[in-house]
Amino acid sequence: MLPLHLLDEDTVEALLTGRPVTPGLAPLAGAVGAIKAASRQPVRPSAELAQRMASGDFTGISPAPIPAPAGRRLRSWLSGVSPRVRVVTGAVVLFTGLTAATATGALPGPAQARMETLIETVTPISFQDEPEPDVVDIRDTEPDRGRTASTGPGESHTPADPGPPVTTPPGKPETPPGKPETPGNPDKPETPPPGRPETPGNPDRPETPRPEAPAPDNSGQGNNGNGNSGNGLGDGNGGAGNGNGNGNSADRPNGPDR
Amino acid sequence: MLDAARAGAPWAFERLYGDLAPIVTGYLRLQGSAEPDDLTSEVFLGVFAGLPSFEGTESQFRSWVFTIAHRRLIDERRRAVRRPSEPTDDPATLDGPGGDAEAEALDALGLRRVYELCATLSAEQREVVLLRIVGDLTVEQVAQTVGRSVGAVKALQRRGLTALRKKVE
Repeated sequence: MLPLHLLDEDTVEALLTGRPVTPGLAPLAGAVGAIKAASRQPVRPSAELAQRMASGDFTGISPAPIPAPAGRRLRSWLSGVSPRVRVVTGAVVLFTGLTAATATGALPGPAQARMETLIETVTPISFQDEPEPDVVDIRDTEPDRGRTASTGPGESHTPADPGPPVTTPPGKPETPPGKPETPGNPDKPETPPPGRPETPGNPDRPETPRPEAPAPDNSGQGNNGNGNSGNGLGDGNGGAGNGNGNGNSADRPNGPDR
Repeated sequence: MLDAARAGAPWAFERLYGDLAPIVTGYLRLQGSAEPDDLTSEVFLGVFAGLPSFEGTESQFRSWVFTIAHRRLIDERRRAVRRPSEPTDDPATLDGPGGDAEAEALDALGLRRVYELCATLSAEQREVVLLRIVGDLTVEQVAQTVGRSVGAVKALQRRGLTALRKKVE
Protein backbone atom coordinates (compact mmCIF):
# COMPACT_ATOMS: atom_id res chain seq x y z
CA MET A 1 0.00 0.00 0.00
CA LEU A 2 1.30 3.40 -0.94
CA PRO A 3 1.70 5.99 1.77
CA LEU A 4 -1.23 8.36 1.97
CA HIS A 5 0.92 11.37 1.20
CA LEU A 6 1.55 9.98 -2.29
CA LEU A 7 -1.98 10.93 -3.29
CA ASP A 8 -0.72 13.83 -5.34
CA GLU A 9 -2.70 16.13 -7.61
CA ASP A 10 -2.25 14.04 -10.73
CA THR A 11 -3.36 10.92 -8.90
CA VAL A 12 -6.38 12.73 -7.52
CA GLU A 13 -7.35 13.90 -10.99
CA ALA A 14 -6.88 10.43 -12.40
CA LEU A 15 -9.10 8.94 -9.72
CA LEU A 16 -11.83 11.54 -10.05
CA THR A 17 -11.94 11.42 -13.84
CA GLY A 18 -11.78 7.64 -14.09
CA ARG A 19 -8.34 7.40 -15.64
CA PRO A 20 -6.17 4.34 -14.89
CA VAL A 21 -4.25 4.43 -11.64
CA THR A 22 -1.62 2.25 -10.02
CA PRO A 23 -2.76 -1.17 -8.76
CA GLY A 24 -2.29 -0.04 -5.17
CA LEU A 25 -5.09 2.45 -5.65
CA ALA A 26 -7.50 -0.03 -7.20
CA PRO A 27 -9.77 -0.22 -4.11
CA LEU A 28 -10.07 3.54 -4.04
CA ALA A 29 -10.72 3.66 -7.77
CA GLY A 30 -13.40 1.02 -7.24
CA ALA A 31 -15.04 3.14 -4.57
CA VAL A 32 -15.06 6.14 -6.87
CA GLY A 33 -16.56 4.01 -9.62
CA ALA A 34 -19.26 2.76 -7.26
CA ILE A 35 -20.21 6.32 -6.36
CA LYS A 36 -20.41 7.21 -10.04
CA ALA A 37 -22.49 4.14 -10.88
CA ALA A 38 -24.89 4.83 -8.03
CA SER A 39 -25.87 8.08 -9.68
CA ARG A 40 -27.05 6.71 -12.96
CA GLN A 41 -30.54 5.61 -12.03
CA PRO A 42 -33.29 6.97 -14.27
CA VAL A 43 -35.72 9.30 -12.60
CA ARG A 44 -39.22 10.27 -13.63
CA PRO A 45 -40.10 13.91 -13.96
CA SER A 46 -42.90 15.31 -11.88
CA ALA A 47 -46.30 15.62 -13.54
CA GLU A 48 -45.92 19.34 -13.99
CA LEU A 49 -42.43 19.06 -15.48
CA ALA A 50 -43.50 16.27 -17.84
CA GLN A 51 -46.45 18.33 -19.04
CA ARG A 52 -44.37 21.45 -19.58
CA MET A 53 -41.59 19.57 -21.36
CA ALA A 54 -44.16 18.07 -23.70
CA SER A 55 -45.62 21.45 -24.48
CA GLY A 56 -42.39 23.43 -24.34
CA ASP A 57 -44.20 26.07 -22.32
CA PHE A 58 -42.50 27.19 -19.13
CA THR A 59 -44.28 30.48 -18.68
CA GLY A 60 -45.12 31.29 -15.10
CA ILE A 61 -42.14 29.39 -13.76
CA SER A 62 -39.53 31.39 -11.94
CA PRO A 63 -36.40 30.98 -14.07
CA ALA A 64 -33.21 29.84 -12.41
CA PRO A 65 -30.70 32.68 -12.06
CA ILE A 66 -28.00 32.77 -14.67
CA PRO A 67 -24.52 32.73 -13.14
CA ALA A 68 -22.66 35.97 -13.78
CA PRO A 69 -19.00 36.93 -13.53
CA ALA A 70 -17.88 38.49 -10.28
CA GLY A 71 -17.84 42.05 -11.62
CA ARG A 72 -21.30 41.72 -13.01
CA ARG A 73 -22.43 40.16 -9.73
CA LEU A 74 -21.35 43.28 -7.81
CA ARG A 75 -23.10 45.55 -10.29
CA SER A 76 -26.19 43.39 -10.08
CA TRP A 77 -26.15 43.58 -6.31
CA LEU A 78 -25.67 47.34 -6.33
CA SER A 79 -28.53 47.79 -8.74
CA GLY A 80 -30.79 45.87 -6.41
CA VAL A 81 -30.17 47.85 -3.23
CA SER A 82 -31.46 51.21 -2.13
CA PRO A 83 -29.51 54.43 -2.83
CA ARG A 84 -28.76 54.80 0.88
CA VAL A 85 -27.11 51.38 0.97
CA ARG A 86 -25.10 52.27 -2.13
CA VAL A 87 -23.87 55.50 -0.51
CA VAL A 88 -22.97 53.71 2.73
CA THR A 89 -21.19 50.96 0.81
CA GLY A 90 -19.24 53.50 -1.20
CA ALA A 91 -18.29 55.43 1.93
CA VAL A 92 -17.14 52.29 3.69
CA VAL A 93 -15.05 51.25 0.70
CA LEU A 94 -13.57 54.74 0.38
CA PHE A 95 -12.78 55.06 4.09
CA THR A 96 -11.24 51.59 4.18
CA GLY A 97 -9.07 52.39 1.21
CA LEU A 98 -7.96 55.73 2.66
CA THR A 99 -7.23 54.09 6.00
CA ALA A 100 -5.07 51.50 4.31
CA ALA A 101 -3.28 54.17 2.29
CA THR A 102 -2.72 56.22 5.44
CA ALA A 103 -1.43 53.23 7.34
CA THR A 104 1.14 52.62 4.65
CA GLY A 105 2.05 56.31 4.44
CA ALA A 106 1.16 56.44 0.78
CA LEU A 107 -0.66 59.78 0.90
CA PRO A 108 1.07 63.10 0.22
CA GLY A 109 2.23 65.06 3.30
CA PRO A 110 -0.72 67.29 4.24
CA ALA A 111 -3.28 64.69 3.24
CA GLN A 112 -1.44 62.08 5.28
CA ALA A 113 -1.51 64.29 8.38
CA ARG A 114 -5.18 65.14 7.96
CA MET A 115 -6.13 61.52 7.45
CA GLU A 116 -4.13 60.43 10.48
CA THR A 117 -5.96 62.98 12.59
CA LEU A 118 -9.31 61.96 11.20
CA ILE A 119 -8.70 58.25 11.66
CA GLU A 120 -7.38 58.72 15.18
CA THR A 121 -10.47 60.73 15.98
CA VAL A 122 -13.08 58.33 14.73
CA THR A 123 -11.33 55.01 15.33
CA PRO A 124 -9.17 53.48 18.04
CA ILE A 125 -6.31 53.33 15.56
CA SER A 126 -3.21 55.30 16.53
CA PHE A 127 -0.43 56.14 14.14
CA GLN A 128 2.04 57.07 16.89
CA ASP A 129 4.66 54.39 17.17
CA GLU A 130 7.60 56.15 18.81
CA PRO A 131 7.17 55.92 22.58
CA GLU A 132 10.84 56.41 23.45
CA PRO A 133 11.18 59.99 22.20
CA ASP A 134 8.08 60.80 24.22
CA VAL A 135 9.83 59.84 27.45
CA VAL A 136 12.90 61.85 26.51
CA ASP A 137 10.78 64.89 25.82
CA ILE A 138 9.21 64.78 29.26
CA ARG A 139 12.60 64.75 30.95
CA ASP A 140 13.88 67.55 28.77
CA THR A 141 10.98 69.82 29.59
CA GLU A 142 11.40 69.79 33.34
CA PRO A 143 12.74 73.37 33.60
CA ASP A 144 10.31 74.61 31.07
CA ARG A 145 7.49 73.01 32.95
CA GLY A 146 8.46 74.96 35.98
CA ARG A 147 8.17 78.19 34.05
CA THR A 148 4.93 77.11 32.62
CA ALA A 149 3.59 76.26 36.03
CA SER A 150 4.48 79.71 37.25
CA THR A 151 2.56 81.26 34.43
CA GLY A 152 -0.31 78.92 34.92
CA PRO A 153 -2.18 80.77 37.64
CA GLY A 154 -2.06 83.90 35.60
CA GLU A 155 -3.61 82.13 32.77
CA SER A 156 -6.19 80.57 34.97
CA HIS A 157 -7.61 84.05 35.47
CA THR A 158 -8.14 84.49 31.78
CA PRO A 159 -10.91 82.11 30.94
CA ALA A 160 -11.59 83.94 27.71
CA ASP A 161 -8.37 82.53 26.33
CA PRO A 162 -8.22 78.91 27.32
CA GLY A 163 -5.56 78.22 24.75
CA PRO A 164 -5.72 76.41 21.51
CA PRO A 165 -7.45 73.08 21.55
CA VAL A 166 -5.55 69.90 21.85
CA THR A 167 -6.33 67.38 19.19
CA THR A 168 -6.43 64.38 21.45
CA PRO A 169 -9.08 62.04 20.14
CA PRO A 170 -12.01 61.49 22.47
CA GLY A 171 -11.98 58.30 24.37
CA LYS A 172 -8.22 58.17 24.76
CA PRO A 173 -6.68 58.23 28.22
CA GLU A 174 -5.03 61.43 29.29
CA THR A 175 -1.93 59.68 30.54
CA PRO A 176 -0.33 56.70 28.99
CA PRO A 177 -0.19 53.45 30.85
CA GLY A 178 3.21 52.76 32.19
CA LYS A 179 3.72 56.34 33.44
CA PRO A 180 2.05 56.21 36.83
CA GLU A 181 3.96 59.19 38.17
CA THR A 182 2.32 61.73 35.91
CA PRO A 183 -1.30 61.70 37.06
CA GLY A 184 -0.69 62.72 40.61
CA ASN A 185 1.96 65.30 39.92
CA PRO A 186 0.42 68.77 39.80
CA ASP A 187 3.64 70.18 38.45
CA LYS A 188 3.15 68.44 35.17
CA PRO A 189 -0.12 69.70 33.83
CA GLU A 190 1.29 69.88 30.36
CA THR A 191 2.09 66.21 30.16
CA PRO A 192 1.40 65.38 26.59
CA PRO A 193 -1.44 63.11 25.69
CA PRO A 194 -0.48 59.50 25.22
CA GLY A 195 1.15 58.54 22.03
CA ARG A 196 1.20 61.98 20.51
CA PRO A 197 4.84 62.95 20.21
CA GLU A 198 4.00 65.73 17.81
CA THR A 199 2.40 67.79 20.61
CA PRO A 200 4.70 67.31 23.55
CA GLY A 201 5.16 70.94 24.49
CA ASN A 202 8.78 70.56 23.60
CA PRO A 203 10.46 73.93 23.60
CA ASP A 204 12.83 72.76 20.93
CA ARG A 205 10.18 72.78 18.30
CA PRO A 206 7.27 74.97 19.24
CA GLU A 207 7.34 76.91 16.02
CA THR A 208 6.79 73.90 13.84
CA PRO A 209 3.30 72.76 14.54
CA ARG A 210 2.06 69.93 12.41
CA PRO A 211 -0.50 70.73 9.78
CA GLU A 212 -3.25 69.14 11.82
CA ALA A 213 -2.80 71.58 14.67
CA PRO A 214 -5.90 73.60 13.73
CA ALA A 215 -8.06 70.69 14.63
CA PRO A 216 -11.84 70.76 14.75
CA ASP A 217 -13.30 72.80 17.57
CA ASN A 218 -15.29 69.91 18.90
CA SER A 219 -12.29 67.85 19.84
CA GLY A 220 -10.55 70.87 21.26
CA GLN A 221 -13.43 71.72 23.55
CA GLY A 222 -13.68 68.19 24.65
CA ASN A 223 -10.07 68.07 25.63
CA ASN A 224 -10.18 71.33 27.49
CA GLY A 225 -12.89 69.87 29.56
CA ASN A 226 -10.82 66.81 30.21
CA GLY A 227 -7.86 68.88 31.17
CA ASN A 228 -9.77 70.93 33.73
CA SER A 229 -11.47 68.01 35.28
CA GLY A 230 -8.24 66.10 35.42
CA ASN A 231 -6.45 68.79 37.37
CA GLY A 232 -9.48 69.54 39.43
CA LEU A 233 -8.91 72.19 42.05
CA GLY A 234 -5.19 71.57 42.27
CA ASP A 235 -4.04 74.63 40.41
CA GLY A 236 -6.38 75.02 37.48
CA ASN A 237 -3.66 74.64 34.96
CA GLY A 238 -5.46 72.23 32.73
CA GLY A 239 -6.22 74.74 30.04
CA ALA A 240 -2.81 76.29 30.16
CA GLY A 241 -1.14 72.96 30.01
CA ASN A 242 -3.05 71.94 26.99
CA GLY A 243 -2.34 75.18 25.30
CA ASN A 244 1.38 74.84 25.76
CA GLY A 245 1.25 71.27 24.79
CA ASN A 246 -0.18 72.18 21.46
CA GLY A 247 2.95 73.83 20.31
CA ASN A 248 1.97 77.44 21.09
CA SER A 249 4.22 77.88 24.05
CA ALA A 250 6.21 80.44 22.13
CA ASP A 251 3.11 82.57 21.76
CA ARG A 252 1.79 82.18 25.23
CA PRO A 253 4.39 84.13 27.19
CA ASN A 254 4.23 86.95 24.69
CA GLY A 255 0.53 86.81 24.36
CA PRO A 256 -2.17 88.72 26.18
CA ASP A 257 -1.02 87.45 29.57
CA ARG A 258 1.97 89.72 29.57
CA MET B 1 -29.58 20.58 -28.50
CA LEU B 2 -29.46 23.68 -26.35
CA ASP B 3 -30.56 25.77 -29.29
CA ALA B 4 -33.45 23.43 -29.91
CA ALA B 5 -34.45 23.59 -26.27
CA ARG B 6 -34.29 27.38 -26.38
CA ALA B 7 -36.61 27.22 -29.36
CA GLY B 8 -39.03 25.16 -27.27
CA ALA B 9 -38.57 21.77 -28.94
CA PRO B 10 -40.02 19.08 -26.63
CA TRP B 11 -37.54 16.47 -27.78
CA ALA B 12 -34.66 18.68 -26.68
CA PHE B 13 -36.14 19.06 -23.20
CA GLU B 14 -36.59 15.29 -22.98
CA ARG B 15 -33.05 14.71 -24.08
CA LEU B 16 -31.52 17.19 -21.69
CA TYR B 17 -33.58 15.84 -18.86
CA GLY B 18 -32.69 12.23 -19.71
CA ASP B 19 -29.00 13.07 -19.80
CA LEU B 20 -28.74 15.14 -16.68
CA ALA B 21 -31.63 14.25 -14.38
CA PRO B 22 -30.18 10.90 -13.21
CA ILE B 23 -26.90 12.39 -12.11
CA VAL B 24 -28.60 15.41 -10.56
CA THR B 25 -30.87 13.10 -8.60
CA GLY B 26 -27.91 10.95 -7.61
CA TYR B 27 -26.02 13.99 -6.40
CA LEU B 28 -29.01 15.22 -4.40
CA ARG B 29 -29.66 11.77 -2.94
CA LEU B 30 -26.07 11.20 -1.87
CA GLN B 31 -26.08 14.67 -0.40
CA GLY B 32 -28.94 13.62 1.84
CA SER B 33 -31.85 15.33 0.14
CA ALA B 34 -35.15 14.34 1.69
CA GLU B 35 -36.96 14.32 -1.66
CA PRO B 36 -34.34 14.04 -4.40
CA ASP B 37 -36.79 13.19 -7.20
CA ASP B 38 -39.07 16.13 -6.46
CA LEU B 39 -36.11 18.42 -6.01
CA THR B 40 -34.72 17.34 -9.37
CA SER B 41 -37.98 18.22 -11.09
CA GLU B 42 -37.94 21.56 -9.32
CA VAL B 43 -34.41 22.16 -10.55
CA PHE B 44 -35.26 21.41 -14.17
CA LEU B 45 -38.40 23.52 -14.11
CA GLY B 46 -36.23 26.50 -13.19
CA VAL B 47 -33.49 25.55 -15.62
CA PHE B 48 -35.82 25.15 -18.59
CA ALA B 49 -37.65 28.33 -17.70
CA GLY B 50 -34.33 30.21 -17.63
CA LEU B 51 -32.87 28.52 -20.69
CA PRO B 52 -33.73 31.34 -23.14
CA SER B 53 -31.43 33.62 -21.12
CA PHE B 54 -28.60 31.12 -20.88
CA GLU B 55 -25.58 31.54 -23.13
CA GLY B 56 -22.77 29.02 -23.15
CA THR B 57 -21.59 25.58 -24.07
CA GLU B 58 -23.10 22.28 -23.00
CA SER B 59 -20.36 21.93 -20.40
CA GLN B 60 -21.28 25.31 -18.99
CA PHE B 61 -24.92 24.29 -19.11
CA ARG B 62 -24.08 21.21 -17.06
CA SER B 63 -22.23 23.32 -14.53
CA TRP B 64 -25.17 25.72 -14.37
CA VAL B 65 -27.60 22.87 -13.75
CA PHE B 66 -25.51 21.65 -10.82
CA THR B 67 -25.22 25.15 -9.47
CA ILE B 68 -29.01 25.36 -9.40
CA ALA B 69 -29.25 21.89 -7.87
CA HIS B 70 -26.75 22.87 -5.21
CA ARG B 71 -28.71 26.01 -4.35
CA ARG B 72 -32.01 24.15 -4.22
CA LEU B 73 -30.45 21.59 -1.92
CA ILE B 74 -29.31 24.35 0.43
CA ASP B 75 -32.80 25.84 0.30
CA GLU B 76 -34.27 22.47 1.18
CA ARG B 77 -31.94 22.13 4.15
CA ARG B 78 -32.86 25.61 5.36
CA ARG B 79 -36.52 24.77 5.11
CA ALA B 80 -35.89 21.59 7.04
CA VAL B 81 -34.07 23.48 9.77
CA ARG B 82 -37.01 25.85 10.08
CA ARG B 83 -39.28 22.83 10.58
CA PRO B 84 -38.06 21.07 13.72
CA SER B 85 -40.33 18.12 13.04
CA GLU B 86 -37.99 17.07 10.24
CA PRO B 87 -34.49 17.40 11.65
CA THR B 88 -32.39 16.64 8.58
CA ASP B 89 -29.29 17.78 10.45
CA ASP B 90 -29.32 14.32 11.94
CA PRO B 91 -26.38 12.44 10.37
CA ALA B 92 -28.42 9.28 10.23
CA THR B 93 -30.88 11.07 7.98
CA LEU B 94 -28.27 12.81 5.89
CA ASP B 95 -25.88 9.96 5.46
CA GLY B 96 -28.08 6.95 5.19
CA PRO B 97 -31.19 5.70 3.43
CA GLY B 98 -34.55 6.95 4.54
CA GLY B 99 -36.53 3.87 5.50
CA ASP B 100 -36.53 0.12 5.61
CA ALA B 101 -38.07 -0.42 2.18
CA GLU B 102 -35.69 2.04 0.66
CA ALA B 103 -32.79 0.41 2.50
CA GLU B 104 -33.66 -2.93 0.99
CA ALA B 105 -33.75 -1.43 -2.46
CA LEU B 106 -30.42 0.24 -1.87
CA ASP B 107 -28.94 -3.02 -0.67
CA ALA B 108 -30.14 -4.69 -3.82
CA LEU B 109 -28.46 -2.04 -5.93
CA GLY B 110 -25.30 -2.01 -3.86
CA LEU B 111 -25.91 1.56 -2.88
CA ARG B 112 -25.67 1.03 0.81
CA ARG B 113 -21.94 0.73 0.41
CA VAL B 114 -21.91 4.02 -1.43
CA TYR B 115 -23.83 5.68 1.38
CA GLU B 116 -21.32 4.33 3.85
CA LEU B 117 -18.48 5.68 1.79
CA CYS B 118 -20.08 9.09 1.56
CA ALA B 119 -20.72 9.07 5.29
CA THR B 120 -16.98 8.99 5.89
CA LEU B 121 -16.64 12.40 4.25
CA SER B 122 -17.25 15.73 5.88
CA ALA B 123 -20.05 17.82 4.42
CA GLU B 124 -17.57 20.01 2.53
CA GLN B 125 -15.56 17.08 1.23
CA ARG B 126 -18.68 15.24 0.13
CA GLU B 127 -20.00 18.30 -1.65
CA VAL B 128 -16.81 18.68 -3.67
CA VAL B 129 -16.13 14.99 -4.29
CA LEU B 130 -19.68 14.32 -5.46
CA LEU B 131 -19.66 17.27 -7.82
CA ARG B 132 -16.39 16.01 -9.27
CA ILE B 133 -17.39 12.35 -9.51
CA VAL B 134 -21.14 12.46 -10.07
CA GLY B 135 -21.46 15.82 -11.74
CA ASP B 136 -18.29 15.31 -13.76
CA LEU B 137 -17.44 18.95 -13.25
CA THR B 138 -13.96 20.43 -13.43
CA VAL B 139 -12.23 21.88 -10.40
CA GLU B 140 -13.01 25.38 -11.63
CA GLN B 141 -16.67 24.57 -12.18
CA VAL B 142 -16.95 23.04 -8.73
CA ALA B 143 -15.30 26.10 -7.23
CA GLN B 144 -17.85 28.32 -8.94
CA THR B 145 -20.74 26.08 -7.94
CA VAL B 146 -19.93 25.94 -4.23
CA GLY B 147 -18.45 29.43 -3.98
CA ARG B 148 -14.96 28.38 -2.93
CA SER B 149 -11.52 28.98 -4.35
CA VAL B 150 -9.89 26.50 -6.70
CA GLY B 151 -7.23 25.81 -4.09
CA ALA B 152 -9.82 25.07 -1.44
CA VAL B 153 -11.62 22.69 -3.78
CA LYS B 154 -8.38 20.87 -4.55
CA ALA B 155 -7.58 20.54 -0.86
CA LEU B 156 -11.07 19.27 -0.07
CA GLN B 157 -11.05 16.69 -2.83
CA ARG B 158 -7.62 15.44 -1.81
CA ARG B 159 -8.65 15.09 1.81
CA GLY B 160 -11.91 13.46 0.75
CA LEU B 161 -10.15 10.86 -1.35
CA THR B 162 -7.70 10.24 1.47
CA ALA B 163 -10.62 9.61 3.81
CA LEU B 164 -12.20 7.26 1.27
CA ARG B 165 -8.92 5.45 0.89
CA LYS B 166 -8.68 4.85 4.61
CA LYS B 167 -12.19 3.46 4.52
CA VAL B 168 -11.65 1.01 1.67
CA GLU B 169 -8.14 -0.22 2.55
